[in-house]
Amino acid sequence: MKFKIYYFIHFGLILIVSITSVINSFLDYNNFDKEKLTTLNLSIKRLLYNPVYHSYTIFTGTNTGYGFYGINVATYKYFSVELYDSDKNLIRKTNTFGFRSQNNLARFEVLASKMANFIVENKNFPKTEDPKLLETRQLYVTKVFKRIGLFEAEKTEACKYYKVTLYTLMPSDIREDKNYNSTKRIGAYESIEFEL
Amino acid sequence: MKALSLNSRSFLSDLNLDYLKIIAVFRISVVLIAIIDFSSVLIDINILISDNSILPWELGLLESDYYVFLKPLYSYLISKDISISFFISAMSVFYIITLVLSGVGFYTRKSIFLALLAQLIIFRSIPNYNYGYDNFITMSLFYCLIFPVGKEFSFDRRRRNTGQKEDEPVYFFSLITFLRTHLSIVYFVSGIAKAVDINWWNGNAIWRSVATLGDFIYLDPFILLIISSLTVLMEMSYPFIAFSGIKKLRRILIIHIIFMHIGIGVILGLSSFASIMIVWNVIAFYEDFVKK
Repeated sequence: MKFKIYYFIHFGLILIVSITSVINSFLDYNNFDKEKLTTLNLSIKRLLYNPVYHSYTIFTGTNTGYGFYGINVATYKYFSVELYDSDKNLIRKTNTFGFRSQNNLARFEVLASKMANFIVENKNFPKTEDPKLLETRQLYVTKVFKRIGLFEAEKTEACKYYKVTLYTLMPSDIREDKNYNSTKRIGAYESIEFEL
Repeated sequence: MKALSLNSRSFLSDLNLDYLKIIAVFRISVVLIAIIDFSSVLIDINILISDNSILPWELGLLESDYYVFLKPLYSYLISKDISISFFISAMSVFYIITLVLSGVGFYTRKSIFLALLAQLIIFRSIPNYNYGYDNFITMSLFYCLIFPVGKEFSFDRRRRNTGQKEDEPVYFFSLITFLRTHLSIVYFVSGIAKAVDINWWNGNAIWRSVATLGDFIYLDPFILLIISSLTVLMEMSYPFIAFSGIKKLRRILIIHIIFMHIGIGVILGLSSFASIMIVWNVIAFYEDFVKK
């Protein structure tokens, strides 16, 4: 009996977290008003983010949704750092940061994807929320960009300025573009310049 | 497909795998995947987390669920003048040792518990570089912890009275049931998420997920449409087929799922993720390939 109870609680809660995550992604993607779901979301958050269950989900690895490669599949995103000398001449440019393994570069590109989502959330930040929170979020983005750029800038003595850009690939619609596999359209989410 | 199914059935039945042996195979497979993936991470660990990593540990943890757990640990290390690089190197060695001990089945449960803790400390310290695979390895180690995965193909077996007959597992507390249920939720939810996005019905989603700055061969949009639509249908039907009584249908489903993950591993480069998902599927449905 105890095994049955554990089984249903364990998977019942996993199902609730997963379905809620998909519903919220769907509403975000379609710009639906989530205010009507605020009470439900808060109730679920209170249920699932209590310290006991939250610790359990971290320990078991179940603190994740399964909507990856689901709604609005994320496109390829990457950071690029350009290093300039005191005359603002380009010294070098990189988007690989010295990673020796493609697997690890792919891990680093997870950060690019997360930052892209974070920047979009900042741009769509509700006016009813505390503006200081938005300020903090924007500061976080700036700090992350700065540290990524500094990591490369410190390797180059002549570097005086550096620019960090978060790019995304914008794949063509395969039904409209006959050369979809060779068309490379790139957009920038954010670009920040820093001085050393 | 029939030949593949028949050959695998013959091979697996020759191995005489019972429940305890198959869950031991799960343990060994998970450990091997974890070691191989971590060996790859170690090559660039200094860039990911160290005293001179690309993002300082605090900035990396700030926006994560793990800040409240890990900040006290790292603050303690700093207060004792222990460098982050040294700590991560020590944890890495500890993680590999506990994985090896888990793999060979030496004090299995204790080794797995320690490996799980090490995996959480290392990988949750770099939450910005985590993806689905990392959660699946945590889940796999957790399932190895709660199920008797160390009773076969292990040093621990020699220390037990091998004459004892093991009871059949309780249905609601069997690794097989847990894997089938978990996979059903994973694929069904993933299928629903895909089904509500038009791009998964017209093939665009496949192109969006594989497109990078490099070159890619041209595939007719109709082929991409077929692949993406079938993916949605396969994932949404997974729980219904997984728990149906039609063994033949389950075999067909699992073989297709395995090919799907092989494709994901090769084309998207997510080989570790593909491997762990294949292991989960094979272990969850091994009975359909060995028993008549």
